[in-house]
Order: sequence, then C-alpha cells, then structure tokens
Amino acid sequence: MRLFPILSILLALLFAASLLVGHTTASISDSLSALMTGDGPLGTVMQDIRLPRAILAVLVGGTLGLAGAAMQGYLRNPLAEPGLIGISGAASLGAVIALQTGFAGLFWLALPMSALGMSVLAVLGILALAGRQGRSLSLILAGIAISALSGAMTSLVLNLSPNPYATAEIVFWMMGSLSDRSFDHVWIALPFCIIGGAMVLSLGPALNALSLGEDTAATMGIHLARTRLMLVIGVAAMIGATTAVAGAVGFVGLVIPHILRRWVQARPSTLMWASALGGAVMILAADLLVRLILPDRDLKLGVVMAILGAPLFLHLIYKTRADMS
Amino acid sequence: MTLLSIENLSVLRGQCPVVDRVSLSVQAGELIGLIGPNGAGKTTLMRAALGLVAHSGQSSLTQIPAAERAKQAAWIPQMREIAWGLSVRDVVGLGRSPYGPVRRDDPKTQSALDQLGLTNFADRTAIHLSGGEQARVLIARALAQDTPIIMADEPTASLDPASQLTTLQIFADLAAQGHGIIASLHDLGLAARYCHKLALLHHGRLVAFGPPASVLTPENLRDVFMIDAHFERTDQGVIFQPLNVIAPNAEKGAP
Amino acid sequence: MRPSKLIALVAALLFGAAPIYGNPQRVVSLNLCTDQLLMLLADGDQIASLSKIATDPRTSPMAQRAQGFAINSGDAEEIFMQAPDLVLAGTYTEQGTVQMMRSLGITVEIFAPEQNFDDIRQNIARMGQLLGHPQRADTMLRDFDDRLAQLTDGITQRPRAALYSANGYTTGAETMAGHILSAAGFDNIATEAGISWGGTLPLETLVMLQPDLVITGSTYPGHSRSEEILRHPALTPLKSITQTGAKWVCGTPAILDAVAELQRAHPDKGAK
Repeated sequence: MRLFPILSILLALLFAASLLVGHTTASISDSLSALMTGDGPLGTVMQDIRLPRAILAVLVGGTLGLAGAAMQGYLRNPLAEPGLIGISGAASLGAVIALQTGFAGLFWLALPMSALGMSVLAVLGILALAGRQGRSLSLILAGIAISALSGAMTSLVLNLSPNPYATAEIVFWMMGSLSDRSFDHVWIALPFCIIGGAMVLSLGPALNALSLGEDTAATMGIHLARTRLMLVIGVAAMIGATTAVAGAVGFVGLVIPHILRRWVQARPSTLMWASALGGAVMILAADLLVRLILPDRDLKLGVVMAILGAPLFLHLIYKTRADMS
Repeated sequence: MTLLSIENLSVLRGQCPVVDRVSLSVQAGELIGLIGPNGAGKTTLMRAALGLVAHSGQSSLTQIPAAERAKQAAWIPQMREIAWGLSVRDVVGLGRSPYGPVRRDDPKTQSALDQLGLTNFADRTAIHLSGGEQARVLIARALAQDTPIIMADEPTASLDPASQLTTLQIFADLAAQGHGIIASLHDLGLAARYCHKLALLHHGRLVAFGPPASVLTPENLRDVFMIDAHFERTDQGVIFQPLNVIAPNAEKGAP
Repeated sequence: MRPSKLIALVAALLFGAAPIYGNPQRVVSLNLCTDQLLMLLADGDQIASLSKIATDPRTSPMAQRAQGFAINSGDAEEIFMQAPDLVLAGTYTEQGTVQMMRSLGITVEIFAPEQNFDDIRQNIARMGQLLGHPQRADTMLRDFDDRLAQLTDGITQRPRAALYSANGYTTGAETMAGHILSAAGFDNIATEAGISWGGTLPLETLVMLQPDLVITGSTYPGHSRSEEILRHPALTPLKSITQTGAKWVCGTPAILDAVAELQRAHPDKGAK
C-alpha cells in the first residue's frame, strides 16, 4: 500500500521545511548544524523556537486527524469531528478557566487536566445527545449546542479577566495558532497525546467490527462499554492537551479521514493511522503557509483550515443529504 | 445435541413483559422459524438469548463469557448496516474478529464467500451490491464466524422471491451441515416450507412449538394472526397461503 | 431631573460659562498626563477633579498624591456639574465630551502626548501659563534640564537594548520610551530592525539581534497568551529586566526617575 510511505515522506519533508522557514534567513547547512549544537543565537532560534513549533504541529495535526477518524468510526458518521462537535471548544473553555483562575500555575498537569476534563464532559454530552445511532441530525445539533455554549462561556471568562489582553484572545482560542510556542508547551501536551493516542489506536478491531452496527459487534465479542470509555478518555486527552497549548483548530478531523478513506479501502482501523499521519502533514503545511503568506501578522491556523475545509464540509453535507433522500 | 437452551426467559419494558417466560431449545441440524405478529417479541427474544438485552430466566449463551459466546453464536440483525464502503471480502472477514487479528487470506473467510456464491464479488464494494446480494454478504459474515448457532432477524425482509428462496435454502443447507439456526420470519409460507420446527410467539408468550403442521393450526392462525389459510402438503413441499382476515374466537377474548 | 439638580445646572450655565479672568480656580483634568502636570504646577485648591486613572499605581506615578483629590469619570454631565473654568484633555480624550464642553462655552485645552524631551518642555511651560504659575514652570524646567544633563553625563558605552512587550511589540527611537532609553545611554535594537515608532519584533529577530539588554514591562494580573512571549525560553540566554511602569507613561519630570532607574543596568552608571 503506497499511502503510508507517501505520507511519511511528506511528513519528513514538511517537518524539515518547517524547521527552515522563519524570520531569520540562514543557509540550510548553518541551520541544521545550529539545530544540532544549539550554539549561538541561531542555535537558540532553531532549538527553542522552530523545533518546538514543528513538533507541536505534528502533535496537533496527528491528534486531530486521529481523533476525527476514531469518532467517525465509532459514531459511523462521516461528519463527526472534534472541532465540529464541540470537543475542541470545550477544551478551550477548560484551558481558559484554568489559566484565568491561576489553577494552571499550581502544577504543570493542571492546565491539560482542566482541558481534558471539559473535553470528557463534551464527549459524554455528545454521546448522550446524539443517541444510540449517532445519526447526522442529532449529532450536528448536539455539536452546535456544545460549541455555542463553550464559545460563549470562554468569551465570558476572558472578558472577566483583569488582564486587558485577555479579551482579544478569544480569536486565538477559537482559531488556533502555533506561533511563539516553546518546549514548555510540548512537554505539557506530549504525554497526553501519547497515552490518548495509544488508547484510541487500540480500538482498531472494535471500530472495524462496529461497521456492522453495535449489536453485531457485541455478538462478535466487542466490549461496547469499554470501547466507549477508551474512546471518550483517549479523544478527550488528545484534544484537551493540544487545544490547551495551541487553541482549537477545526476541520482537520473532518477533511483528512474523508480524503484518505478511499486509500485505505474504508477500513476504520487503518484509517486511524493514516489520518494521524495525514493530519500532521496538513497542519505542518498550514503552519508553513501561515508563516509564508503573512509573516508579520499571526494569521491563525483556523483561517487556513476554514478556507480548505469549509467547501469540503459543504460537499459532505450535500452528499449526505443526497444519500439520505 | 442441544446447542442452545432457553428457560423461562422474560424481558420487561417497564411493567410490561415483552417476552414472557419463554422456554425452548435448539438442536444441531434444526432450522427453527420464529413466527408471530408484529410486536410479539421475536426480536427481543433473540437479542435476550444473545445477551444483548437484560432479562430474567436463563439462556445457555449468557452463562459463558462474551469472548467465548462470540464463538458459539452469530447474529444477523434485521437492519443491514454496513457503515463504510468496505469490500465484500473485508465485510465477510469481520466475522473472524473473535479469533484475533483479522487476516486477509483467512481460509474460513474464503470458504464462507464460496459457500454463499460470492467468490466473484470478493473485491467489490459491499454497499454497491443489490439488496439480495448484501443479504448474502451478511450471512457469509455470520458463517465466517464459524459458530454452531446462527440467529437471524427477518433475513428475508425486502428481498425478491428468488433471494428469499435462496436465503432460506442456504439456512436449510447450513442446518443440514450441523448448525442450529433460528430465523424470525413474517412469511408463514416460507416458514412452513423450510423450517423443521416453528416457535409461535403471541404477546411475548410461546404459544406453540413444534413441526409446522402442529403449529399452523386453524385455531392458532385465527387467534394469533387473525387469518385463515390454505395448508397443503404436495410433492413440491408444503404450500401455505393466507386467505382471509377473520376475528379471533370471542371465548378466548379479543387481543 | 430633580429640582436641586436643575438649579445647579442653571447656575453652572450662568457662571461656568464665564471667560477666565485671573487664574483658573476650578480645573478639571480628563487625561492621565495632564493630571500629573496639574498636580505638579497648580495650587491644591485650583484642582476640581482628576481623571479616574490618576489613582492607578500601575500607570500614574503620583497615584498616592492623587488620592487627595476628587476624581471624575470623564462623563460630560458630571464634569459640567463641577462648574470648571478650565478643562484639560488629551488628544485621545473622547471627542464627543470635548465638543460638548466647548459648545457649552467651557475652555478646553488639549495636550498632545509627549514624544520627546522638547515636547515635555513645551507642555510644562504651557501648563504653567494656563494655570497662572509661569515661574513655577520655569523652575521646573531648569531643574529638569540640570538633572537630564547630569544623567546623560559620563556615558561612554552605548549597549544595545530592546524594549519588548506583549505580543512581541517593540517601541522605536522616535517614541518617548525610545528617548528614555537613549537618554539612559542605550541604543535601540528596533532601529536595526527598521522600526522607528512601534511595531512587532518577531521573537526570532530579537534573538538573532542579540541585544545586550531586554527591557519588559510588568505583566497584568490574570493570564494572557499575549504576555506569554515575555517568558519564552528563547529569551533566557539574554539579559532581561522588568522596568517600564508608571514613570514611563507621561512626560513629566518623573521621566527622569525612569531614566535613572534604567541606568542602574548601564555599565557606566549603575552597579555591574
């Protein structure tokens, strides 16, 4: 299957490009040696500014792609996506509350745990509201409700902050950005991404079996309650941690599985791996675009994602309607 | 040999018994038709026996752990759900799930495909096939699960006559190979023709259980189905045709 | 409107709209910087009220002293009720309020924000004129120039410094902050980056320029992502101090305190 080698090569290339693009111009050899040694100002730039940014792009994109594929596999609905159904919004709310109350400063786990906690509530809310079948209408309605509520509460918390800059930052939380992130942020997110990712990836056989419906899967030995629990916690951990450091980035979990599905013969288990790779590729590319198009302004990742993702989302809705009628 | 035994199985929805103290058993080599009007509790009975619904009473299947149970009984639900554009081979291969990671070249998958006449369809996308073909794919999936017991909910629903006959012939052949099969059916004619035994459910209670002739009596037809029918044994097999709608016997009380 | 208020309003209209004969006796200030100059140059009983920011220690160097005076909220009706004979405002004071005052016949003097030391001198002199205390202004100006000369004397090296605040914003040599930096004996990195007034200095550029000193302001309470950049690990190898505060904001002699404090980090002037 040519897909994985191609995606891996793309990932490596974009990662390298991400390390070499920035406000500072330097030759490739200088940049790479500075990356290794960390010497001098170029070394600081490479190791403390560019490297964590590139790593975070991989983490954010990978988890968004993976979470999207996993939720779609579980709900049997191609419209399921963490941003769309309000999980990223809830994670933002959890992060903002932790930051503004000072809870985040108490111990390093506080920030990602708050975001994770809110994400868990959101995922449970979605599963409860969308019903057993996870049919499109109830799913999207539940997602709209949770997104709207999270967004409004986030805005409120930010407006109540004594810090005058906080109010304007609603844009960061709702659209996402990787600029000026550091290794501090990588260490916050990494453990949750690894653990959450492992939990979700282990659900491959279960998601495959669920293609035939919950009853059939159960009679083939799939433990439905355990699958749901692993999914909820795994997705919440990944989305919570990455949103806490980079804000909410939408559409990746929608676009990537949709594109890659035909290359993996629609198998949900394989699609999860492919979407993790594809999501990382997409965010790396978007983050590069953001730095190349408007280097002096912090163009949010969400803007690029929306431009790419919104037309595709509309196409998906149109197709779903056509299939239903 | 008894493959499945159900004793005093009841399922309550609120205060109302959807399945009311049903006892029956399935022997190897038997194709049992589960019949009854809409709402009689056929689907619920099968799902309870499989452990998908909470119940009181006993089902020999729910007394073993889920992993083991998956190797004893396969379930074909009425909703023919295939969520994604998987290939026929992949769908059928899912039946191997209880036995570890699914391998593409698993011989049992291949044999299930062959037995259901799907060998040439193996690489086609399952959801692009016709209704009858998809029904066969899902039966092949259950067959690939390699279980003594197969339960099917309305397997002939929405199928054309040829597909209906083919499906029931496949079940009859599987029974002849030693499987025990329960299938709920609305078509009493097909049930009478192919099944060794019929189990008649009415308001959740097992009203009759035995060979078709002993179950499809005029009294049962009138009281349970509110019909009368023409029942005839010919050298082409049993012929059963509902004729008129009639009121149930006043002595027994209207439902 | 209650009758008492109505009577007061009529009285204010009759008497408040009178032109100034002699020194103004009821001065209202609507702007932080005019607050400071007012407190420095006026008699205490000339001051009717100060702007509400005057008591905020984060931005007002004379916050303590300001607590002894009445505070206005900048609302036209409220100011009017104080029957001022002079209102001092800044160029960014709410235009609607200023127009309303003028149309009611109140004298409003606008003070532009000071961008350099000459602006400071002009504003001090003008304020002294307006308040009827030109000699006080002259004394203040002499002390100012003496002290400035003292501060700028004996500087041989000019280390390179960066003024860095939330969102990576830097202020250039043409701004007041830039002049403070220069008077303290530093060269502004922003000039090397092509910024003469204000603009974003990307973190990478700041690191590559390797300033001898990075000067940041104290952060607000609560959290903001904009201010996180000030704690970025990439800044650790650079020497940073937290300085900018109330004394940097307005063009008053307090600015020289800012210069003096900054000079504590200067090799020629401060401790090593």
